[in-house]
Amino acid sequence: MNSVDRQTKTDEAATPQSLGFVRHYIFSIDHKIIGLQFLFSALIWLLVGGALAMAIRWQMAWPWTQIPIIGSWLFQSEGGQISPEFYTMLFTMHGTVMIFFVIIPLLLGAFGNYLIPLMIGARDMAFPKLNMLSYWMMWPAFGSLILAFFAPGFGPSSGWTAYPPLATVWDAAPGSGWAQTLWLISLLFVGVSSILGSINYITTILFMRAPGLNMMRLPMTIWGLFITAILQALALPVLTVALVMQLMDRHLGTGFFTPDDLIINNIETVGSVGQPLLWQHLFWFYSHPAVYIMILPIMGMVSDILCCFARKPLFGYRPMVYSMCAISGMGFIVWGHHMFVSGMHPFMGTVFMISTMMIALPSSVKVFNWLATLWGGRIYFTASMLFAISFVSMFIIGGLSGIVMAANSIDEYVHDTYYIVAHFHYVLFGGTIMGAFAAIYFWFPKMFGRMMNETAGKCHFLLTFIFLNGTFFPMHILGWRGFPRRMADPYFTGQFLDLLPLNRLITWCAFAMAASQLIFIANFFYSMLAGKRASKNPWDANTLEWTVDSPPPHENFHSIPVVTRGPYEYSNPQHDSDFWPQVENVEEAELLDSVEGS
Amino acid sequence: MDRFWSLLFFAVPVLGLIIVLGAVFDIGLHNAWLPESIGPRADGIDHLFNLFHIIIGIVFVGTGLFLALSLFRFRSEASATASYFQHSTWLELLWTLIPAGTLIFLALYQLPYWQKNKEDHPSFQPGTAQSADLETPTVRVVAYQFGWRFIYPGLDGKLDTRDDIISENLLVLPSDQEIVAELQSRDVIHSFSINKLRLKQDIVPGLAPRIWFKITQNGVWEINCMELCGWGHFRMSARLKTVPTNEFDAWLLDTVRQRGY
Repeated sequence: MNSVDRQTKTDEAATPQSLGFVRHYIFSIDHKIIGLQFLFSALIWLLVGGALAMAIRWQMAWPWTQIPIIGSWLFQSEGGQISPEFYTMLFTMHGTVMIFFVIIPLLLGAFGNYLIPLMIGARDMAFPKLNMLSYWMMWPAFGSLILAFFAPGFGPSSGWTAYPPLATVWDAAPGSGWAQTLWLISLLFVGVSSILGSINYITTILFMRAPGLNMMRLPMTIWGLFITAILQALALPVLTVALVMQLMDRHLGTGFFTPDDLIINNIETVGSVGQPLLWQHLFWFYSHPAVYIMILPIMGMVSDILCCFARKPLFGYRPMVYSMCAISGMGFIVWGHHMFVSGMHPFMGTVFMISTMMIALPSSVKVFNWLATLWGGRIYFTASMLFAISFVSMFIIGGLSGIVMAANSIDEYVHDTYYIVAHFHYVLFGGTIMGAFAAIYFWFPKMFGRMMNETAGKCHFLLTFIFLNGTFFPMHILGWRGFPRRMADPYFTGQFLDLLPLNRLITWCAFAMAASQLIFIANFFYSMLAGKRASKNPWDANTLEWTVDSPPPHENFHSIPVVTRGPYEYSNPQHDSDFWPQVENVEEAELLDSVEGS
Repeated sequence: MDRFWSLLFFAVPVLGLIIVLGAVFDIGLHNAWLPESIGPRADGIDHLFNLFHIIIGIVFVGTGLFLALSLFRFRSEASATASYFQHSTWLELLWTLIPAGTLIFLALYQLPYWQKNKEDHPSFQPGTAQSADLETPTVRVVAYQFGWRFIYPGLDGKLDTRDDIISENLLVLPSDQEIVAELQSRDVIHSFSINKLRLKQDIVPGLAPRIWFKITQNGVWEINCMELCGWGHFRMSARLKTVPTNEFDAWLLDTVRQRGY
């Protein structure tokens, strides 16, 4: 039924040749082009977010000293050094950019768009125009965040969490003026973009799978994206509402979050009887599931990559799917662990402590299944595989430190220290970004029709892996000592001066890690233009995207494939070769393609 | 080259070993890694902190070693074919039930500390501002951008009267006596934190949370704001000075006399 509908649409659709450059590459409704648009946008913002992080590290290692070369140009009035209000902007923007402009668009926008139709055997998304709109909704977001950098106070400076009253009262911080308003508008657009995208992904995965591809034959990548899309569709409206409420507090004089009788900058606020805790609850009701939004798709992709390069079926497919569902379900009832010391009722702290402890369980089930997948395999250490393995390795560290913070008694001590910073960077950099690199190395041949250079990829991996641990592991030790986060000068009182050398080590590692990414950038662009030509299936993988040309043609499949088995039939003793694609007979399908094509 | 990559991952469990040894040394050498402890509250949290790190450290080393070993043993040059197995109910049960048991144990084991620190106290009055039934706190802490004001009840033992004693950025407290403090904020959210007591409580304006603690040593320590409160967040600190009770009483009297009541 669906394939018939799609077929009709195909006949009506113009061929890519007849579309002009603008329709084909800019206002495109092809999911592959939209995916690449998201990919390039996210990678550019990754550079911005990374640069902000480097400035943060500079201040932690050499506080109040002039930044070499660019310092005098950036901060003429400050004598080339970072000012305290600039520093608060730095970590606010670093968090905002990395979460909303890099990770979420990279995982859902880029990989979600590119992979979903290809991996489920569909010609495009269910709603291609909605898909295009979801990308172009990012541009107002980009625009207002860029404008926010030029607003008074250098940019929003109340943290990416934007807690009121700091964020809602115009005079509470230098960046709480127009910069904060622009920040709110920017996030609203990101939210709309993500909601549009997630509706599309859910519909596409539910209704446009190729014949024979039932839910229990879906690759884990698709499961990860599917569950994430559901999470987004349910959680994002809450953030959107909260953002609108904060905007109204700031501009229409409502009092949702701002309490009465505050004296800020010698000005008394009157007339509002809001409650800052309400914002915290609404914000974290989205932003905790967002943590899973930022990791579940990568868990799926890594599962596929591990199987492909270990030449072995995924261990425990069903437990893997169930644990993903459990993570996303429980992800909605753990947000309060961000608020253990906020002043909410301590009994609620206990409830959230127990749910948070329990969410470690499905995560650990996933880790054990990955370990069992590797055991007994035939492991090929490609660049993609190395990044995928390091995902598992780093995710273990990030997951385990999560247990410490889940314990509310201990969290009282480590809350707002570098222990937290270490934890979420192990999950989001060691986990998500390393996994995203694995995915880029893995699907690059499909996206651009050329192979990435393996040697350069392995160098990139080795340096990133070493310096990532050099950067983030010592942060646990800072956290053990109670070293505070979000402070422009934690050494101000002298009590943390003994940690300065360790901070300098971290900064050197962070600089080296950033420099290592140059290898990736060079490799990416060189390979895109002049890499070795990629065949249809360079990794001998099973899933459907590897049965079409690299890069896939417009509308992906000439004839919709018929799926006869699961995606993990590697090294099946009943089959001659060590992989067994999901389509019954690839050669036959290709023959049909060529007939149809001619 | 495969050998190199598999060996690289043997370096990861070393990090886990640092965690385990760190926690063990910390117990053995009395806060070798954790900051000095100045009260029973800190001792309790340190105990949990080290216990948790020993447990997660062991899991860290174990899983890290297993991963590295799998990579080494099944690297493509050493493993001719991959085996075809993909399910085992008893393995799934094993690695669901054992972590579940451990997590439940950890959750319940640490819970009494939370209750003791946050709930089990006559001053605990959840979610309300100052209530008439509560006894007068030892001190009221008022946080503002970017400093601390400490208000003592004075000789009449009541707050909000003419003889309240105000101290800016210096909190003097008697040691070996339980302190009850009421926290207030004048502007944005702050967080009252004494690192060496492992104590932290956000101060949301409009709420007036109460905390209670005991400091068993005499000395001078730092109070920090641990919640982002604006550009001057980093410099929002105060001194905490603990003295024996008789000296504290003398300090109070002295301060009252200076103010001429």
